[in-house]
Amino acid sequence: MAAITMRNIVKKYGDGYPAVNDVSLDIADGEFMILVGPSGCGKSTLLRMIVGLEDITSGEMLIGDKRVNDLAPRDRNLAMVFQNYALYPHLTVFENIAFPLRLAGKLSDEEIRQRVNEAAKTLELGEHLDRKPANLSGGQRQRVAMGRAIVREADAFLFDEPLSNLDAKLRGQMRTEILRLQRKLGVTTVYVTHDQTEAMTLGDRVAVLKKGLLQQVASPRELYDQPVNLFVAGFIGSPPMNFVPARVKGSEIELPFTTIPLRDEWRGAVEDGKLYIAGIRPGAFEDAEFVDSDKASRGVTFDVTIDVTEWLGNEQYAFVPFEASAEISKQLAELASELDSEQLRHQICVELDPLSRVRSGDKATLWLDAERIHLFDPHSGDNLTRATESTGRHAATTG
Amino acid sequence: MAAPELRLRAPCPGLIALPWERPLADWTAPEVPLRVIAVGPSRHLVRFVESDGELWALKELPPRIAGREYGVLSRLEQMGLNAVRPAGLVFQSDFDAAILLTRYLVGSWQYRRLFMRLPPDAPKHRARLFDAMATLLVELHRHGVFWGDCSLANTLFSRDGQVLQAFLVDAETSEIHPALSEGQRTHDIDITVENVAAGLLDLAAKLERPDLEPGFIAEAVGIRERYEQLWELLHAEPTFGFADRYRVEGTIRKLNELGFAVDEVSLQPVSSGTDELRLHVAVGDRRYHATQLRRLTGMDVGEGQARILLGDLQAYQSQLCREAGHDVDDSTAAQLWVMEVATPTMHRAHAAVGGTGTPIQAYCDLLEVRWLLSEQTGHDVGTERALQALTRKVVPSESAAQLMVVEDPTEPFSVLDEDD
Repeated sequence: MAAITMRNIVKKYGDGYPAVNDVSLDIADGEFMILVGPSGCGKSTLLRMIVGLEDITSGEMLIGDKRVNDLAPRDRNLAMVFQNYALYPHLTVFENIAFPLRLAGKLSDEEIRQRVNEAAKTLELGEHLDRKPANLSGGQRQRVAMGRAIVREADAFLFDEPLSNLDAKLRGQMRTEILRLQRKLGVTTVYVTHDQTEAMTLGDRVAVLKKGLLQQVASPRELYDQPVNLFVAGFIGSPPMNFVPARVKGSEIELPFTTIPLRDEWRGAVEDGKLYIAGIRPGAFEDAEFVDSDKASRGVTFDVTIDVTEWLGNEQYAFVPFEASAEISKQLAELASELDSEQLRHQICVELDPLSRVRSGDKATLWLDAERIHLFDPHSGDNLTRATESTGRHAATTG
Repeated sequence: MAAPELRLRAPCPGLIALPWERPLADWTAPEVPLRVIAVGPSRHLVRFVESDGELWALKELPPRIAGREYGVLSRLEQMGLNAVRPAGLVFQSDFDAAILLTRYLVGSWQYRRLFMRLPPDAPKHRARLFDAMATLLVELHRHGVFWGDCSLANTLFSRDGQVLQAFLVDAETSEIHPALSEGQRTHDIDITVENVAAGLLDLAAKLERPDLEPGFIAEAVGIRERYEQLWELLHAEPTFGFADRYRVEGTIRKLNELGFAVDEVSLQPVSSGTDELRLHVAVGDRRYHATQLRRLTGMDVGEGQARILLGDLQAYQSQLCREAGHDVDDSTAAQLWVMEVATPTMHRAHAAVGGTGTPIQAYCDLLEVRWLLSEQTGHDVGTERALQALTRKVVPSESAAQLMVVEDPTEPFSVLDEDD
């Protein structure tokens, strides 16, 4: 196993456009790193440069302490997992796992047997080695395909959107299998996805890319709680973070539907009278009726008319329209196109207790946790209120 | 219910009438004219439908992947590369699924037929198979196509003279780039070698012939060499002195013999002040002989077939010249050959093989058998003896003509079992 180090990696194609632009990233030995971003962000290109499928225009790629820029893919000792998950019906499970080793011709039969047996133990396939794939369950079949990667004893596992062509049920199963395996083996793993749920559930750290530029590398928790900019804030989280205009006035922040106190530590970061974009997660709201008294003092309550509610059993969302100036609207439209998402509607999404009786068209009293908002610069998109890791209330709880 | 979104490139009434509002798995015969064809292990559900006089392959995929594969197959068609042709794309938003429709390649077959219908230990036939695969990979790669999952099961074959043509069937993992990097090419070959080896080992297990395994592995590994030789030949940029520029001709002849047309040659000084030149050849389509035969006779056949037929035409032309005692021009010879030799003999040959395959291929088989038998006996055995051999199906072992058994039956679309 080995660390993967990228130093100022650039990939330019014939037209001169940098698909990957000056990316530096250290992936620790044994770490599960996710590369995520909308299509065209450069995540797959970056993975392919690690594997050796794309030439590196400039910069350095190291696996362990070896520079691999000019090595052929098979000389990098990496395993692309699920690149090939065809199972061969007449070969036993043992042979289905062993054949890449046999083909390589570098190991004795005894060494191959040992490796396959060990992998089978890790994958809990030990009892099935003499069976044919037809007798295996769906999950077991996927583990056979993983076994092929394990027996190579590669320095790192690489996944390029491995679940994107599976149906939803299998996708969930596979995600769990991949996570379990990585934890068991502790192998350095790089995983590319456009799906932020996969990113958040799998990674030790997540690298968010936009148009070839690295935006933020952090734990899923930190990305969620302390995004560096509007892009990361909007990309991570489902349903996505709400963005609303926010004007600083004296010791208060005016939002479209309420006013909250300006926190002392923010005074240095914002200017009185200026307009900002506030980012508020749906979960920072609640039906005021369901807020404990000890928590209530942390926030403010306000009345709104609910447009629509969506009740999903274990969670409930309500949507509330708001007004925004032309300037803010323009910013939000740009953000939507960068995020590859639909135009952000001028409405906030509010997470309510599933027991809340609030219904479409109702007047409702909502509560907002005033500590759980961020202010973004409307021009640069930078998060002006981001707490550094040691001071952030939520980041401090990051596991 | 949301109506499915249909995109058909062949708006045949039978296709339009299919029950697109239902998941592919729920389609049943006889309501739907389904045909059972063994395709080997596949990631996704694949079914076959006979409609409007043709056979269609339908594959169920997540919409995003289906859209991508449809796009890749359409590009491959535009570039004239060997691949199944996309015929339609149907989005079923109710099931978050899509169905990709492709036209079944007439006269094509899967590798298993070759192993099941001929003695499994026939390395020459397998060599034809692997040559075809290596050639297809080279053709894809020089057009910037990364396959990503080349395997025996993902390839269809058809006969073309004494060689085979390979066709890409599954483009789920394929990508098209302006040009491929060294890494992409070698990785694609690595994948191919591994997939083919596993496919062959699977076959050896099925046949209960473990003795074949070492040979199979060696042959799978050998695909890399076949690929590299051809790639080298197409991309070599030899340098030589100005006085040796006649060597250009040798390079071109070699490419033409392999069927490649040459679009342009350029000779550039290696550096200023020396008389050393670097040759760069822009290689065109692999239809050199086919184009020539078509120009002379109007016949539109495969490159492998054209090569054989042109040889026959040339032999006929020399015979004409000898008999006439003077030169006979190309177009006269070609016309006479079509009328007096090729057309009548091709129909006799096709009848001799019981109508299997195409008349052109039957004629190519006849020429091969005649040549091989003549070689065995030390003199020309003539057309009649060769026809008899074809009729009795006693053709020299491992001759290309022996491959005719893989073409039988392709039509009508009968139900094929896995061992077919």
